[in-house]
Amino acid sequence: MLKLLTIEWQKIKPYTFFWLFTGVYFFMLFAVFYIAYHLMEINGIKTSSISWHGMTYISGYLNFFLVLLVILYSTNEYQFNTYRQNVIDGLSRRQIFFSKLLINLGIAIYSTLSLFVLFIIFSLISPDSLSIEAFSNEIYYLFYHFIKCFCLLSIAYFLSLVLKKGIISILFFVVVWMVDVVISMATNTTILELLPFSSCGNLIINPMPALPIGYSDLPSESNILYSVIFYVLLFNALSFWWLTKKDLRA
Amino acid sequence: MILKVNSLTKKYGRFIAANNISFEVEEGQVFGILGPNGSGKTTTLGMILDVTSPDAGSYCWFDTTPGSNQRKHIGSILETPNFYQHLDAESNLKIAALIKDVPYSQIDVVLQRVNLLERKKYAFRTFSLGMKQRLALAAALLGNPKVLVLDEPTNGLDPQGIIEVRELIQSLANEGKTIIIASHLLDEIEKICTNVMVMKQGNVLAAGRVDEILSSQFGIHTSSKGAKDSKLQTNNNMEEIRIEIAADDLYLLELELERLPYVVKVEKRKETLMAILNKNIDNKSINQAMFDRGIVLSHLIKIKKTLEQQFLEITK
Ligand SMILES: Nc1ncnc2c1ncn2[C@@H]1O[C@H](COP(=O)(O)OP(=O)(O)OP(=O)(O)O)[C@@H](O)[C@H]1O
Ligand SMILES: [Mg+2]
Repeated sequence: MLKLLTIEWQKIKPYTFFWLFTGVYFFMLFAVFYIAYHLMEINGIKTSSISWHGMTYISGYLNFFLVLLVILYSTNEYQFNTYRQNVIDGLSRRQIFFSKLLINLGIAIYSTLSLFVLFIIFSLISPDSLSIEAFSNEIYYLFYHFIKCFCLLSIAYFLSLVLKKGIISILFFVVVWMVDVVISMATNTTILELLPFSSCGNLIINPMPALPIGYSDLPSESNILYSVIFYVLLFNALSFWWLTKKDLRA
Repeated sequence: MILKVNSLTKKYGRFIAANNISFEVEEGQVFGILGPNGSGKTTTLGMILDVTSPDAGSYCWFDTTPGSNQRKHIGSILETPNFYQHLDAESNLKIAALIKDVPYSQIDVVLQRVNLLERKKYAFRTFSLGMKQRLALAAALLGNPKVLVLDEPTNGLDPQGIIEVRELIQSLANEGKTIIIASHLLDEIEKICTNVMVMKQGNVLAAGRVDEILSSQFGIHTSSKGAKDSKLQTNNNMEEIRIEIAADDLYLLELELERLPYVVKVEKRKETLMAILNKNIDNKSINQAMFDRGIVLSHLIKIKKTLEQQFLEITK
């Protein structure tokens, strides 16, 4: 495993695109926090009332950015046949899978850590004192964010393996996402709220919806969590199967 | 045994890219796979390197069950040079070295061997096709593997580069390495291979020692058993031997040649005649026969069919 990480590190280290993406992601996360605080201030809401729930919810919109990164990073390897070359040189196909699994995990952890760090920083510099309560209350939302993010990346990775081309994978991801959300909204059936993207979306619901739309018949929180974990396992299993059974070529 | 391939088959939909391919490669052989474009060479090599999943059949490297570790001792180029565009030559080889468990110190050695040492800090995407190809060769040489699998290694090289790479392959063969090479540069196969397998439309048409494949076309029976196995034996009755022949009086020469029992046909060329014989007659006898008829030959060569001509015939 250390070897796989070393190899991935060799690939990523001089990869400007990768660092640009992760850097810009952090900056955007920062902007989200800044705007949230600013809005609270001008609306006279105490900034100490900031919550993990609220921040993980808003930050969730930036997950798409990480999805782009995973898709582009993976399809790049496909386009230039470097997956294939790695196997020819002596990696096994399952090692190829595990090294990208590690990368996806790493990106999800990076996102979660960034959120954590920014939360602390903003709590510290806010004029209202940092309440231990705000900090420790609902901190499990950080885990929700992590598993949701990792689930989306797992779906993105699988799509990139099947479709092989960056642009097509991204388009497909968006289309499937929309179809998923529209189906579960339109049918208003509890079970369809457990489709992959809906599950991810429902794991951290909007804490202060402008329109009080029907969140009423959502499955229970734990069921949604199990469903997301199920999709993490499913899509990684599918990626594993695809990588070990199919031809490796662009 | 270095490699044993049993009935490998690959289908793309209903199209059969490789059909029931079987062959064996022994230690020290330079094994050529010869075939026109799209005959399934790359497909076959892809299967034995585990990047193309076969629909049927099996293969076995080094007499043991297949596994990724075996490929660390096989240096391979498949189709095109595949490298990370954003990395320089050295970093690309570092990745290959990490995968193969080879120390970084070897990188300069292999780069030197393909004349790319001074370009090692240049990004791969800035390389010319020939340089990319040579970098691929360098990667294949990492770890001094005892087996090399080379899919058209001279593709994209200039004449100088082709000669260099051929010499490199030759010297690797002389070091006792086993080399499996796919190519449609036929004289290349003829020059450097000990064994050859001819493919067409996914099928193996012939396989055997290079000299046997050549001689079977000429009907010269070598007594080794490989020649008997060769499917090319069936072509024996179609054999034709050509000689290029000239004398001062071409007209007289033509007349006399046509009287010889073993001459099938005489064609006029610019300053010579081309005679097709139905038997392999040595030059001395032909010369003697003409001399007996009062003709002094100014020119006589037997046109040996090259592998290329044969190849074109077999795969027609
Ligand atoms: N992914 C694929 N999908 C469909 N057909 C394919 C695929 N890969 C190869 N083929 C077909 O399989 C056949 C054999 O291809 P292959 O690349 O093995 O030929 P080759 O002998 O290496 O040819 P060349 O000398 O041009 O390199 C070709 O007809 C090709 O079109
Ligand atoms: Mg080919």
